[in-house]
Formats: sequence, C-alpha cells, structure tokens
Amino acid sequence: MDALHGLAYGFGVALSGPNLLACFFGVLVGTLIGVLPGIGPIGAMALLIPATFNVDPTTALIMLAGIYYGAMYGGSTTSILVNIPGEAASVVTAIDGYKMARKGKAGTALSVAAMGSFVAGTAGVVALMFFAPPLAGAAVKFGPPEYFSIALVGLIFLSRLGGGSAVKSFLMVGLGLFFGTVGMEPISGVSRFTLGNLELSQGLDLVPVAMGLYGIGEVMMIAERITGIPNIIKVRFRDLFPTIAEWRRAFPPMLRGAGIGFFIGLIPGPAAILSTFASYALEKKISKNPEEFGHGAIEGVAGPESANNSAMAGAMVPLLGLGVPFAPGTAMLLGVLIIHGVQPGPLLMTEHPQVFWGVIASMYIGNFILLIMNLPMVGIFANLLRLPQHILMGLILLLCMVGAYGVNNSVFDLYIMAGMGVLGYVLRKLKFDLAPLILALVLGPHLEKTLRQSLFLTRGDIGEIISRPITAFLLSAGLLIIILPSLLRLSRRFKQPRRRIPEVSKP
Amino acid sequence: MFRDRILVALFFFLIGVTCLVGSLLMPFGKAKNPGVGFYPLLVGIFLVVLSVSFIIQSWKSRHDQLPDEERFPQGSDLRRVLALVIAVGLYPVLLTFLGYILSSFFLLVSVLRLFGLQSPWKIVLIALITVGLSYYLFAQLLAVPLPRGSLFP
Repeated sequence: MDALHGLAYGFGVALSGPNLLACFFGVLVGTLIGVLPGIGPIGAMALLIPATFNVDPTTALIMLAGIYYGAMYGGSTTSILVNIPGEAASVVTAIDGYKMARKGKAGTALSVAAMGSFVAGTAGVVALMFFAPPLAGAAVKFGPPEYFSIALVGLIFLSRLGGGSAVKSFLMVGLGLFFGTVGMEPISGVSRFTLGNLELSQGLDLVPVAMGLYGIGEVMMIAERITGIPNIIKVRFRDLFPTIAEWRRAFPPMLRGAGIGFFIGLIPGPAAILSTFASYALEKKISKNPEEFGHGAIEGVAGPESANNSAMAGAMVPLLGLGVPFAPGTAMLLGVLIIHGVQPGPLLMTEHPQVFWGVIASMYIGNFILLIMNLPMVGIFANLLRLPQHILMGLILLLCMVGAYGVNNSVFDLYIMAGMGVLGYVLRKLKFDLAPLILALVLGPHLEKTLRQSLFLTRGDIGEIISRPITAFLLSAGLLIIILPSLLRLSRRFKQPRRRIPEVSKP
Repeated sequence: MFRDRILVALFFFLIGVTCLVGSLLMPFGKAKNPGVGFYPLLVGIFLVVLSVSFIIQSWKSRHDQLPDEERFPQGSDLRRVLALVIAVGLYPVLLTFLGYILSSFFLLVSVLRLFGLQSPWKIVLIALITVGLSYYLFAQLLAVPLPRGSLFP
C-alpha cells in the first residue's frame, strides 16, 4: 500500500466514532495532566493504560498518542506561565517563554507554542509517512558507540546554549550527572550514593528535582522582593495573540525545529529534550539578534516547541518500522501493542495496516484537535497570571507538592524537592544556568548505559570504538565545536599586539 | 561576591570528591569490563577538575563585582525566604501525620500570609477554597492517592 492510499485508509480508520472520541479524550486528558506540573506524559500514559485493555489496539494507541501530545503541550503551558517545566522537554521553552510572559506576552508565547506543535506534528507525520521504511534501515547502522557519542557531544555542546561561563555550565552538567548516578544501578543492582536509604535507591526522580529547582526556587526568588503591587504581570488583551509580524518571525523556526526534531527522534535517547535544546541552539546561532535570546525571543519558543513534537513523530519511525522504541513514550506504546497481541516490527505495515496508518492519521488529527482546543484556552491560561501574587504562589506551591508526591506516592520526594529548591535558589542567585543540570540528569543514565555497552562490545578496546566511522566523525565534530571558541579567542589575542605597535611608534 | 562563589565552588568540589571516593570504593573493573564504579569515577574526576578551575577563575576575578550577579537578601527579605523554606520543609512532616487536607491548609495559610495577605478572614477563606478544590480535582477527578495522615484511622 503506497503512502497516499495508506494515509487515506488511515484517515478512514482514525475518523471513525470510537477512534475520534479516543483521540479527543486522549488530547484533553493529556493537556490537563501536562498543565498540572508533575505527572508528565509518561506518567499520564502509564495511568491510563489499564483503561485501554478492553479496547481495540488501534483505538488504544490513538488515545495514548493523544495523551502524549496533549501532555507535551500542557507541560509547555506551565513553563511559559510560571517558569516551571511540566516535563524535561519543556525546560527550554521556559527560558524565553517565561520572559515573554513577564513582559505581558504570555498569550503570544502560548499561541506560538500551540501552532508550532501543530506545524511540527503535521510535518513530522508527513515525513513519517514517506520516510519510515528507508530511515528505519539507516537507523540500524547506529550502535552503542554512536549513541554514546551523540549523547556525549550533545550534552557538552547543548549545555553551552545558555551562554555564560563554560566552567559554570559544565559544573552544572557534572552535578546533574552525579545526581543521575544516585540510586540502584540497573544492571548489577548495587546501590550508589544512597547512604543506606531505601527511598534514595529509587534514584532522584526528575520530577521532584525539576519542581524543586524551578518551582520552589522560583517562589523563593519571588519571596525575596515583595513589593506592594499585587500583580506581577499585566496582561493586555492585545498581547493575547501574536501579531502578523510575530507570526512571520515564528514560522521559519517552527519549520527548522520540526526538521531537527524529526531527525533527533530517529536516534535512541531522550529525543524530546535533546531536540528542544538543539533547536534552541540553532535558532540562537542563526538569529540576527542573538542577544534577545534569554529575554523573550519568540524564536526561542517556536523552534523548541515544534522540535519536541516532531521528535515524537521521528521516534515513531523505529517503533512502527522496526518495533524498537527509542524513547520512553514510544516504549509505552510498544507495551500497549504487545498487550493487545500486535507484534510491532517490519511486518506491522503489512499485517496490521489499520494500526500503522490509523495511528499516523490520528497523530495528525490529534495535533489538529490540540490546536483548536488550546487556542481559545490561551486566553484563560494567560489570565491566570492576573491572579494576585499570594494566591498564585500558594497554588504553585500546592501543585508542586502534589506533583512531586504523586510520582511515586513518596513523602521523601517532597524532602528532595525542598532541598533542590534551596539549591536551585542559591545557584540561580549566583547566575548558574539550571538547564544543563536537568539535561545531564536525564541523559546521564543513558550515557552510562551506552558507554558500558560500547565497552562490552569492543571488550574495552577504545581504539576500536573510535575507529568506527560514524563515531569518529561525531566525536571529532564535537571536539571541534568545543575547542573552537577557545581557539578563536587565542588567535584574537595574538592579533592585538601587532595592531598596537604602529600607534606606539608614532613620533 | 567572591565569598559566595568560593562557597559554591567548595560545594561542587565536595560533591566531586564524594563521587570520586565513593566510586573508588565500588568495584570499578577495567575498561574491558566496566564495573559499577567506572562511570561515577569519571563523573567525579570531571567535577573535581572543574571545581578547581572554578576556584582559580573566581580567585583571578575576586576583585570584580560581576554586574549581573545578584546579592543574597538581608533582613526582612531574608527572613521571608527562610520562612518559606521552613514551611516547604515542614509540609512533608505534617503530611504524614495530618494528611493532605490539613497540611495543605496550613501551607496555604503560611504562604498567603508570607506573601502579604493581611486579613485573617480572607486568608482562611482562600485557603479553604483552594484546598477543597484541589482535593476534589486530585483525589476525585484524577484519582491521585493522597495521604490520609496517621492520626486519622
């Protein structure tokens, strides 16, 4: 079945009553869950898997995919409004999105995020349709050394996107990596850095850490300077939606983000978070006004928000084409397929075409529903910011508490969150960028796993690892990127004395 | 300020050393067969090297007041921040004994008061409504299991 026929068939499947309902339900629930900080898309999907037991596998998959997309969008809502990322992928959105909100442009940021998600989701689906089979084949050539190189280079490079001192960014990376090692090591079961505490053996979950660093930390920073003014932010009706000029600025980053996200989604690893960082870095690099980034550049919201959506589409390629889940979200989808007796893999397209094409079509429909549902809500969300500060802070704190508690039903997580809050506050006061820490926390385990796999694979022969073509390319490119700024600085220092000498020797 | 930077650098240094020492105590095998401590060892080295660089960097620039570095609060501002930390840290303790509804009520009352709301009526009313709504939303609608508190059977 060729692509267009397949898609038409898929739409037929996806637009049927129960499937459409499932899509709508998934997107709605996903958005709600995503908006409430804490339970991210994975948690939301996990909570609702039992609800899918009695349903058709296609319907189940459609609903879960809707949840994922909805939660992605919801997570960016809290990032923009109150600088608390709903999940890891929204960390980057918070950087410029929150700044935009503080300038009264929350509605604009939210609209751009919604539209970007839609554009990228659509583009991603199109790419998925046409490129799934050949791309799946190429992805197989990547092995643990390649995954490791990508993660390593990505981590080092992307942690620099906040600018500022390299040492500071890398210190945060180191801290994040350390936090990632706390807990029970997955292969051998040895507990690391847990001081005998049973709760710590579960590791430091991203949610309490992120809520603490960002949420509690933010509230603490606001607590510092209470002014007499009840509202922090003025929301003008005019600013609820982007102007034509702003749309024009936002659209190209959406497309670029969609492209980057899709390709990163093809690669194993936390695709969503990596794609947002990569998109942000790209937009900053090619922008005509890079100094705007970090202060409310609309490209800094449009790009990453698109990227994390098309990363999901990209991640579907290895899932649907090869039966290999490369991202936690797709792993859940895989689980659902297996529960329903559908064996994902290269034969999925031929044996269960309604699943394959139905899911693809529903991703498109889901994105559309997301857009029409969320654009009106933008007004409501943006107006939430007009609540008096004391109520807003109370709400945020309560939501953080429930969110952090709800992940593992653990009161201990609340202590972690409190501690991280203090840490986040101190770090922010000293102008340390928090994003690299989160990135390192998420990537750390993956980094370790692929490193060990690579070493097992080559029996410790590092030469063999480096001589693999793709790995060699990635590592040297990464090394170049890291060294380049220092080299440029050194060369500039050599040029300067020559310029000064003619002045001095003037009589 | 230099002193603050040094303190933070020491923090990172300590974490790095902890990581290093901890990983040396674990079986870390060789490159052929990396053990549990292999990766943390690398992380520890990374942290130690970086924190030393940071200390050196801070020492070199110790007389510069970096323009965008914020100062830590003093006086009543500091008290507010500390009060907030205490409230946030106390919440989990209360949660186990008093359960969600009461603990959240106390948390909200403290936060509302902390952020400037004066009228006791408004405080109690807003706290009650918020806790009530949140309980409904989380416990009933979303079926999130919230602690009951050990005081209540």
